[in-house]
Formats: sequence, C-alpha cells, structure tokens
Amino acid sequence: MTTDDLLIIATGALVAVSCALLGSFLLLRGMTMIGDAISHAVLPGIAIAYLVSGSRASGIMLAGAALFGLLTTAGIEWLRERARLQADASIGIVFTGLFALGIVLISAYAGQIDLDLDCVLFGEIAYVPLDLWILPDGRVMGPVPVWLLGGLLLAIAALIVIAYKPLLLTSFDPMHAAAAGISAVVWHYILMGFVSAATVLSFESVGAILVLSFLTGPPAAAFLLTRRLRPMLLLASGAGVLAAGLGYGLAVWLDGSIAGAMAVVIGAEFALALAWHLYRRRTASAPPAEEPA
Amino acid sequence: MNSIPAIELHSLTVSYDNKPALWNTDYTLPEGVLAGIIGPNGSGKSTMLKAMMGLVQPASGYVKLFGQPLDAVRQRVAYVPQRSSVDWDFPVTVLDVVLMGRYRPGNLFRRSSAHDRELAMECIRKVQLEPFVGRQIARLSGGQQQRVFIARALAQQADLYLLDEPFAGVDAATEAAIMDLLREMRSQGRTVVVVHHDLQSVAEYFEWLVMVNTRLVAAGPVADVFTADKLQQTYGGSLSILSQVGELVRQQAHPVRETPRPPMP
Amino acid sequence: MTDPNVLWVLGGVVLMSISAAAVGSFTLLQKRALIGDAVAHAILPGICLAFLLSGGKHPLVLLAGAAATGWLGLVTVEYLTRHTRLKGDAALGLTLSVYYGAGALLLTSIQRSGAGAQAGLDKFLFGKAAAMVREDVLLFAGLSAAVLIVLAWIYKPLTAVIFDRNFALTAGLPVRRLEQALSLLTVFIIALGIQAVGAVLMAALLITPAAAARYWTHDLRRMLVLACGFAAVSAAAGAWISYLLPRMPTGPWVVLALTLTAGISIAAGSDRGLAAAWQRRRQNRRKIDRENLLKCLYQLGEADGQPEAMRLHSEIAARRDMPPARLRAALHALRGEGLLRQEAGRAGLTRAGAAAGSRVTRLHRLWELYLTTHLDLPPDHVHEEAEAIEHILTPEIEAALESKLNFPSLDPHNSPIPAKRTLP
Repeated sequence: MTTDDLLIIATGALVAVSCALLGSFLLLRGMTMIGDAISHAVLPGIAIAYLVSGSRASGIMLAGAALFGLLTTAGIEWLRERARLQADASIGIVFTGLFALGIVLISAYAGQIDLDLDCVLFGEIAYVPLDLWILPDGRVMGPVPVWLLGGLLLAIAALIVIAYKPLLLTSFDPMHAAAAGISAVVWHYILMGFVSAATVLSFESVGAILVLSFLTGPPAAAFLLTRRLRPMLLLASGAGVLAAGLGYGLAVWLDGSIAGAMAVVIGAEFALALAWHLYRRRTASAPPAEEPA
Repeated sequence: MNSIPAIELHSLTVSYDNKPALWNTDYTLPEGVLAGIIGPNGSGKSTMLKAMMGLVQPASGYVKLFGQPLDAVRQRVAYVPQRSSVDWDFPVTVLDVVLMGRYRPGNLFRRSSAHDRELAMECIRKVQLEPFVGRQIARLSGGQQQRVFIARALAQQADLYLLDEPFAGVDAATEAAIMDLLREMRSQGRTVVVVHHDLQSVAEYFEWLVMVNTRLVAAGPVADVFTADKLQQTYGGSLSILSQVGELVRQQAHPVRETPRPPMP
Repeated sequence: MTDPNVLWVLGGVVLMSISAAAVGSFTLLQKRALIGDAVAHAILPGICLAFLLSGGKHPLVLLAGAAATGWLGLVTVEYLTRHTRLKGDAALGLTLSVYYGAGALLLTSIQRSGAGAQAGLDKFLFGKAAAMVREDVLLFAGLSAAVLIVLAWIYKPLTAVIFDRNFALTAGLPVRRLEQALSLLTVFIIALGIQAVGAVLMAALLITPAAAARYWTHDLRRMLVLACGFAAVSAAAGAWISYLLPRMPTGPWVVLALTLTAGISIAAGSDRGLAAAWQRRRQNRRKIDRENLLKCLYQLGEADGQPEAMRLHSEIAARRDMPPARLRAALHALRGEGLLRQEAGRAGLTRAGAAAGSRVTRLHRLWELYLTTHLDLPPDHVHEEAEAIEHILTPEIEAALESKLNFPSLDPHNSPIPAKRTLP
C-alpha cells in the first residue's frame, strides 16, 4: 500500500464521513431525495463557475454550487407551496431540468470547460494524489482535495456540535419548533447549503451522482441497526469509512471505477444491516407491554 | 371579574384549502379554568387550536392570549399536538423529547443545563414514565407516548396548555392519570384547554366548555351551556346554508374579507 | 434533414416519449413519481451484465438485462418501504445510488478491459439517439407502441385502482395484478428509453409532461392526451437539435424542452396555473368593486329617499373608500351595463341600477341577520363579513335565507331589508 493509495482512501473516507453525517439528518427529515436533487443540480453551477473563472478555483466553484444548491431547494419549495405541485414531481422537475442544463453547458463549452463528463459523474479519485497544493515558496502541502474535504468535515462537525439542538428539534417536530418560535425553514436551508457544499467538494473525487450513495447508504444502514441518534451518526460514519477502504480494494482488483466500487460496498453493508435488522425482528420479544397504571 | 382572559378569539375565520373551516368565531376564555372543546369530526376544533398557536394564519379576525398576540407570550403557552403528528421511529428517547420542551430561541447553542435536566426528570416522574427514561419512543405504548408529549409540555412551564385530543387511543388508566395531572395544573392556577371527543365525561372533567360546529355554538361554564339544545346544534348536522356558502367561497376563491386584516388593537 | 434514417430515429424517439408520458401520468397520480428515477438508475448494471454474459451488443439481450435489474430495483424500493422502518424517500435514494454505482463499476471494468465493442454502452448514460441504426429503430418504435397498446387495454380498470384502491378491491378488480402491470410497463419503457435520453434524465420523460398537463385540466383523459402531446413535441425538438449539433447528446435537449413546457404550463395553465389564479382574483375584485359602488349609491338614496339622484364623486368617496383608479373603472363598467348614468363629476343609478343596488344591500342585511340569529354573533361583529359574503350569495341561497329567517324586514342594526324586486 503506497502513500498514494492511503491518500485516495483518506479522501474517500473524508467524503464518506461528511456525507454520512449530513445524510443522517436528511434521512430523518425525509429529505433524502432533495439531497439527490441537489447533488445533480449543482452541475450547471459548476459549469458556469468554470466559464466565469476559467479555472478550477475551488472558491468560485463552491460559490456556484452553493448558489445552485439553494436555488434547487427554493425551487422545489416554490413548486410545492405556490404552484401546489406534489412533492415528488417538484423534486423531479427541478433536478432533471437543472441537470440537463448542466450537461448542455458542459458539452457546448467543452473547449473552455476542462471538465470531462464521465469525470463529473463518476469522479476520478485516482488523480487526487496528483492534485497538489504547492505553497509559493515551493513546499508541497499534500493534495488539495484532502485539505478541502478535511475543512468541510470540520465545518460539518462544528455544525452538528454547535447546532445539535435546533437540528434535532426541527428534524423531529417542526411544528413544535414553529410553536416555540424556532424557524424550521432557516435550518432547512442551512442543511441544504451544507449538502451543496459537500456535493461540489466531493464531485471531483467520487462524482456528482455517487455522492448520493454516501449520503443515503451508510445512514440507512445505521438507522436499521440502532435506535439512538448519536450511535447512528457514529455507525454511519464508520460504515462510510469502511466502504471507502474496501471499495478501493475492490476497484483495484476489478480495474474499475473506484467510486462505483465504493457504492457497491455500501450496498453490501446495507444488505448486511438489513439482514441483521430482519433477524432481530424475528427473534425479538413481544411488543411493548402495557405498563401498570 | 376584570382580569385579562387567557384566550380571546375575535371574528376568527380560518380557512383550510380555501374553504372556511371555522366561521367568524368569537369568545373569551378566563384564566385558571379547565376547559373542554367539543364538536363533531371535522368541525374545526384542531384548526382552532392551530390558529391559537399561529400554525395556521386566519383569513380574518385575530387571537389574543393573555391579552397579547402570540409572539409576545410564546413562553407562556404549550401545545400538545395529536400523536400522529410526529414520526415515532425517530431515534430519540423519552428524556430527549421531554428536554426539547426546554429549548428556547435563546438557548439553542448551549448544552442543556443541569436545571433543565432536573426539571425534565421531574416532569417524567410526574407522568410516571421514570422507568422508561432511556427508552426509544417507538417502543412505548400509545398511552405512554401521549404521556411523553404531556411531560414535554409540563417542562415548558407554561401558563396556558392546549391539548389536542390527548385521550385518543389511550387506555382508561392513562386517561385517569392524565386527568389528575391536568387538575393539579389547574389548581396551580394554570389554564388548561382540551379538545375532547367523549361526551360522557364532559361534565365530570371540565368546568368550562366551548362547543364548535364549523362555527361557535356556545362557550361558557359547563352548567350553563352543556344543554340538550346546544348539543343538538353541535352534533345535529351542520348549518346547510353556511356549508353551501363555504363551498362557493372555495370554488370561486373568493376572499373572506374585502380588505386585508387590520392590525389588531 | 431529409435523410430517411434521421426521420426514422426521430419517429422512434417521439413514439417512445409518448409511451413514457402515458405511463408516467399514472405513476404521477399514484404519487410515486420518483420511482422512475430509481428504475432508470437500476438499469445500468443489468445492461453491463447482459453484455458480459452474452459477449455481444444485441439490443434485445441488453434490453432484457436492463429490464431485469430495473425490475429488481423497483422491487427493492417496495420491499424496503413495506418491510423496514425506512421511509419511501430513503428507499428510493439508497436503491438508485447503489444500483447505479454497481453499474458504474461494471461499465468501467468493461471499458478498461479493452475490446472496442463496448463503446456503444456509453450511450446508455447520456443517450445518443443519432447512434441508432434503422433496424434498432424499428425494434425501438415497435416496443414503444406495444407499451401504449397494453396501457390502452388496461386503462379503465387501472384508473379505478388509482383513484380509489379500496373501492376497487371491494369491487373485485384484480388490483395487485394491475399495479404490477403498471410497474412492468414502467420498467420496460424506461429500459427502452435509456438509449435515447440516458439514465439520469429518463425520469423527466415520465414526470414532467404529466405534471405540466395537470395545470390545464383535471380530467384524466385530457391530461393523458396533453401529456403525450407535450412529450411528442419536446422529443421532436430535442432529437432534432441533437442532430444539428453532433457533439450534443439527445437527452438534455429533450428534457430542457419538457422543463420549458412545464414552466409555461405552471404560469399560464388554464386550470391551476398562476395566471388563471391571478385572473380569478382580478375578476373577483372587479365584481366586488362594482357591487360596492351600487350599494353605496343605493344607500345614499336610502338616506334622502331619492334612489336615482345624481351624486357627486366626493359624496361617494366619503362614504365608500375606494382608490380613484378602481372607482373610475367601476363607474365605467356599470355605465356600460346600463346601471349607471354619468355627468361631469357626478353619477347616479338608473332604475335597473337601483334594483341591483337594492339587491346587494338586501343580501348584506340578510347575511348580517343570519349571523346574529344563527351564529349568535353580536351585531357589531357581523358587518365586515357581510361586506365580503354579500357578493357571493346566489339567488337560491338568498331564498333559503329568507325562508330560514322568516321573511324579515329589519337587519340587526334596525335598517330595513329592501324587498325583493324583479329587475326590469
């Protein structure tokens, strides 16, 4: 195992944990498919950021993605509330329309946008060790994605630690939150903003679409394995890291997409969790007994 | 009796999907009573509570709590919704939920204090759920789940409690225990309002009554309003003209007030 | 553009889009719009497996593989939703991402293991209709048509199931089998359509035309026809652009056309569109203004016993607060209807106008009386509501009110309730 291998796995692990944490809240709020929509809809934002800045400058890409992520969230809300369109159709129309726009932009401006469509969708995590951050004085600080993703993870961890109570409350009982004067809408947008950031920072390594497998798989597996929130977050993170490591191994063995392999491992992990869950249910004791008065 | 009423509804009309669910409702409810709200299904009882809590916007009129708009007195009001309003598979324990009753916009970014925790435990004891403190909420019976909600409301230490059908799907023992608790709260000077569905127990439980059937039928002391005549008006079918007009309002998307609501006095 | 191959492909894509829109209309009504998204992603591993196992690229084999894993994906979603604590959205997201990841893994291994034959598998991601040859197109079009035919055959019972499942069960309809048939058709049309528009965007062909059609009508048959129409036009536009610009895949352009159609429908749709709602509000407002003016003039006439006298605009404005532009519009409209006469700075009711004004006043006072007697409201709480409701009471309701209130002569404020007049 070379340093490069470790760097690749580390990158995957950072993506995995960030997405596991965010994805757990998405799952509990029933917003998984909005997360899906955002991970697709940031594509035009990335393309436009490229056109505007002419480079892969992450700051501008982040801004472009965040913008389109919030636009997606707002668009879906608007269609549901003002245009009175059913929730699933609102999501479907917004994300397919924006994704189509993204592909058109990338195809049309292929000369100016140094983005390979395959790369956008599947990522190319193998290039991570090559994308180095070199200081003006020549010191090599390591791969850029590792720094960026590390920063993202720190930000997400900080969010969860600092804003644990409002996130919990608005996820569990938005009506009670509203009655107490705590805005569920604000926290919705904050969460989706983070999902947008996670998507764009991850797309170069695992691709826009496969970010979704990290957002959905580990949290779903953890949800089936535990009935407490903190263990769920930890389990999801652990499952994600494991998938990053094993997935890399699988990809090397089959000589295939690393991100795809990671998704397959996630699927296997989920299948195991499901089997455990079903087994536990079958052998569980009687349903909650009526307590004495 | 010049004290400010706990609740005042003034010309309150609330629409649901463009159709008025509650017409031009007007009444006051004094402080310190144990009151019931009764009426047939779909008669606007839950809608009334939601309008009081600002969860739905009225098409006309206003609500005042303790003489003020809701925003000024949020800390003094606790709302216990129907059990179906929450996903019970959520990975939280009884203690987690009751602690949420202590959350305020001002303390959201700090850990719950020791005082908060003690208070939550006390409320859990009051509803006799202490053995279940660490249990995840899906693994509770219906009656236990209802008591979790009540404990959360108790933890808010409010002056006004609004409960939406707290006895639905709950066994007799739990119902008796909850009623004892509500009586205790009332004897401490709090105001308790309960949307209730069982006519048999009205006289025994409540001292004040609000009778609703898409519009107010009666509001006042139980002895005065709980009569055969008022019951007939409440449960004997809706006012047909009112229903027809409500349907027209919905079809034509007609405004219920010509001018937007004036600011409340 | 007159190249026959181009026209064949265009025809095939249009036909496929129509089938997809028809199937999608039903899944939309079932509130399962995103199932198409899950199936579209689940198809990818099936295509790769079929390729690996058959060693070739025969379209029917690939189609079979696609349908197989597509069906598996759909079953996975339903199973997870029904048998675990996971909710529908989590099941969808999980299924689509894991299956797609498996597909990506297989696809890239195939690509990297050499052999030029797999180049064609790429088009399953984004779709490239132009790459289809005529034989493929015939198969493509034929199968799309087959989907439409089956759908037409089960249309009636399927509609019953969607609108009221319980009723259909009690009526003895084969509900489970119909739902499975719809699922099969969904999987099939998606497996077929992927070659033209690609996996990610296929969902749009099921969801968007149907959603757009909803804003024009609530009648199911008309909605289906409209959805198919939107799909056909958008597909033609998309496929045509894809030909003109060889670097461009077909899928995105079709979807952009569909999204544009949806946007226009939401804004301008005659049934639930925003423009229609705005129009309705405007009409309500105009009617309210006109009737308020009539009532105002009538009541000025009540005060001095001269219902048809000319009044100064300032007198009117003093009694009824209305923005000058709306007052002018109302005066103009009433004059056009023959209910008003106008001179410089003054206006007055005609005989017909006085009758109309008296009617509005009558309705207002009847409703006030109804509120005080039947809703037990105090007299000072009824005016505001009567101001709004007076405009909506029909003659039938008017008669019912009269009879219920026992043909009253005074309102709660002791104003006389005008007698009913037959309008000249």
